[in-house]
Amino acid sequence: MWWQLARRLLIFVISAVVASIIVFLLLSAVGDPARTALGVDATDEAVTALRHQMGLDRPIVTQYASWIGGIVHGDFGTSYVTQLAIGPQIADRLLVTLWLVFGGIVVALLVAIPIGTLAAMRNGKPSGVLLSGLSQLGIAVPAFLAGILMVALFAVTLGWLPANGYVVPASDPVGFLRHMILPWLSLGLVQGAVLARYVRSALLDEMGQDYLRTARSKGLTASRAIIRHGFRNASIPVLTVLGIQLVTVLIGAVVVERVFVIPGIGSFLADSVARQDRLAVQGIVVTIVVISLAVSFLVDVLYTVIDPRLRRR
Amino acid sequence: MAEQASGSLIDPALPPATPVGAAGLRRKMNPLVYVGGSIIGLIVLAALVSFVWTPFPTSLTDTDNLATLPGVGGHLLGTDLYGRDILSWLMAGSRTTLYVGVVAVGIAAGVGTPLGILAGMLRTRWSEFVMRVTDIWLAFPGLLMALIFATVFGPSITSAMTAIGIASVPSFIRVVRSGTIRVMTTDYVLSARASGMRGPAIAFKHVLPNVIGLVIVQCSVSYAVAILAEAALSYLGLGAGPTTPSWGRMLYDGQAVISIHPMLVVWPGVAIAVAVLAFNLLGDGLRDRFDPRLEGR
Amino acid sequence: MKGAVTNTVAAAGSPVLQVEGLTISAGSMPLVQDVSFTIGPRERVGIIGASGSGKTLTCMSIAGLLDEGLTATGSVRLAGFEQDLLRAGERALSSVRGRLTGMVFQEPMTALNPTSRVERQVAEVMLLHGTVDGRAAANAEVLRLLDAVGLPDPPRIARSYPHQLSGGQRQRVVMAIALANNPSLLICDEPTTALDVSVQARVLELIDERATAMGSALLFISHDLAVVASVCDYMLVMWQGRIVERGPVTTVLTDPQHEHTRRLLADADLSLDVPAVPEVPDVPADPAVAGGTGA
Repeated sequence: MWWQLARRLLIFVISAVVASIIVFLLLSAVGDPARTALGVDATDEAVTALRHQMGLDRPIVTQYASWIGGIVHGDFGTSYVTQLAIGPQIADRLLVTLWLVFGGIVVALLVAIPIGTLAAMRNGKPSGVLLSGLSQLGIAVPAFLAGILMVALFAVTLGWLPANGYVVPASDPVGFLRHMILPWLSLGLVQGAVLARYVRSALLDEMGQDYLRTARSKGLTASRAIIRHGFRNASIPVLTVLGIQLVTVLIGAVVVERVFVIPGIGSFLADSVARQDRLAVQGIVVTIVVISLAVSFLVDVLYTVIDPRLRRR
Repeated sequence: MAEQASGSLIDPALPPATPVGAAGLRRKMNPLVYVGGSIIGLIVLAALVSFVWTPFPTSLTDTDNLATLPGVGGHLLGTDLYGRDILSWLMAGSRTTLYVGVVAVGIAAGVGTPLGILAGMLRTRWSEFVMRVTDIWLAFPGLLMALIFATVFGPSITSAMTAIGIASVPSFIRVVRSGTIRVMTTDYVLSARASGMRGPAIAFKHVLPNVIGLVIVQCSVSYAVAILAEAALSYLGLGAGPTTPSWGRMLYDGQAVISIHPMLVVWPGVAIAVAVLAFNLLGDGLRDRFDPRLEGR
Repeated sequence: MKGAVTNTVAAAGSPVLQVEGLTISAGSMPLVQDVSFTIGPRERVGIIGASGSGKTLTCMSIAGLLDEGLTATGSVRLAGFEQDLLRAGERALSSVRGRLTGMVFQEPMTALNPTSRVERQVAEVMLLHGTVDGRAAANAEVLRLLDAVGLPDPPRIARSYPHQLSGGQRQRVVMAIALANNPSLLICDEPTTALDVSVQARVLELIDERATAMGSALLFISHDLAVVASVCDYMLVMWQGRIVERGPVTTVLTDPQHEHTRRLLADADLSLDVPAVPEVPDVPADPAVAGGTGA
């Protein structure tokens, strides 16, 4: 089992390195970053000078090495557009985004597990079909759209909650929560709808399994059998999906942060893209991608822990 | 005992299929396909009609009627902040929606299908390698890729479509690869290989016809994803330009004044949701019909 | 055969199971029609029939596991339980299952929860009905049960997961679960069909031996004449949802009355398949004299 773990860790590290190379090539090797930074009207001398300053006249491998070397030490470089250090910004904003994402996932689970379970138990009956239909609706609405509509309804029309903004939790917990409710709901309800389908299908899969019949023959009622035995086994495929969903939520957070003006890593990315600030985008994207790969890795590990069939050899 | 049809054990992400009938009359076309298909048909119709006619020209700014409610000044759904007719913009916007989807899915299917077949037919070590590459590829979802492209090439619909298309390739590779592997283990392929049939011939004659159903299903799913990605991108102001009718762009414009005119975001929002819903329903319904993993259940 | 329900050799005491006029339908289509029989204490009754004959459905209604979509009329009464099994709700039925009845089904490979250790799964049936005091006592009993069903190295098996065991071993675990609470009726639905031929005989032996040792009655469903013949005293032949013939095993096999029974006999190759098990008294040593001179 430890050998499996080491192997998976190695794959993760290699994937992260490869992904960083891809990000680097896409953002630093294409076109002319110096000209983009200076604008179309810049003189050739100015561009050449900037290219030298940016180190773009070095061989590409050297450029990559120095960039990734910096990253590993936490130095993401300084933006040529904003003149600000990128690393500290990423660190601060990442924390904010993690609050957003974490809350979103919690809401998603709170929505998905009951609805998915009910839909599975009432499969074929009208209430089950209704629940399935609701989750279909939830899937079609992207998180940012849900956010916009919620702002339109709850903040603008009803005035119950603030339309945007972010409050540091340490300084004002209540304010923090008030500002986060709508963002959490918009991420969570939508993801919850997606997740509910998987919960339902995973449970239905388990419900058709023989071992539940054995469980009932021992004296468990149908529902208790599902809850006691089916859930654990159903959580396995749901866990994989959750891992994938985490990535989607992270990306979705990018847009949701714009809706609610939350100073997270997503709005940092959107702003940097608008400014065509390549170095910043590079740093942010590589952070997001490595986090995604790390989540995949962790889900894999968790999988092995939960399903004893995977522990062999 | 009642047969419980369910999603595949291999891919937990498959929703349950329609039950296998007692008479073996399985996999009749799921009615959802027709619902999804009709909605898509309506959208296509709106797009086609918009080429020749819209209630008001999309470039027209009716300065007397800015951000009005439905019905005012002959505007069926009202106007936006610049006085542009919302209904006309919705109709014209459907063009962008469909166009982006077609190009993105075209790229993804065109690149992903042959790669998937190749990965499925090659020996294990290469197949494994492709899977690793696909995993890394999947870490770059559509929106992320589009943002990268927008940084390098500047924001535009074209860069968005290409980026989303490239980002959608790995889904196709995965699906086609697993379908190919299944086909390769069937008896008739084994006997074809035994009688000397070579790779390319097998690919065309046996594999392709059998995976095409999976490809179609994935096309529908990826189409929905592409629509969402473009909408998000345009909403961020990094996709369609100010004068290009796009539902995402309408959201961007509406968002700016949401505290005063909250209704402006509702129309494009509903349009996006309906379109995505339609493609999802279509994909689900087609999956019931086409997915061989659900055979025999 | 309608009417006469008593069947046994010497049915000492009141019946463990009494089925009367059992009719199961899916909508308007009858799947099982007017089935009636009783099983006395320690008696072994086999139901034989081809697939589609309704034997499994009958078994399921006795097990309290009948599918919700089916309607059942008639009565199924189990000794020790006041309600009619056909009218009882899920909660009531769950108190019967595993306590008054124990079940062994056809497919051992999927019968156990793949993510739970054997020990837990066997202990569960005892803890559920409170027949042991606490987990420690349950675990001790689990080891005893695993040994009783003939599994080597019970501690190792107890700690194992189902996927680490063979089909035959899993079926023995299922038997251990079924017998844990000393049920008065052991229900087996094709318990050896999915097993290797070499293992089948041993599992049948086990069923026979355990049922005797624990004094349970046995309801044994199979499509295999030879298997039923080797374990049961009394048999019912079902065809198209009805009982078409019934009687002591010897009688039915040596002097079949119904067309279908004759066909089943002709198809079965009794001389090869009869396992060498200690015969229950009253059954002659070799019942394979099909249509022959009889005892």
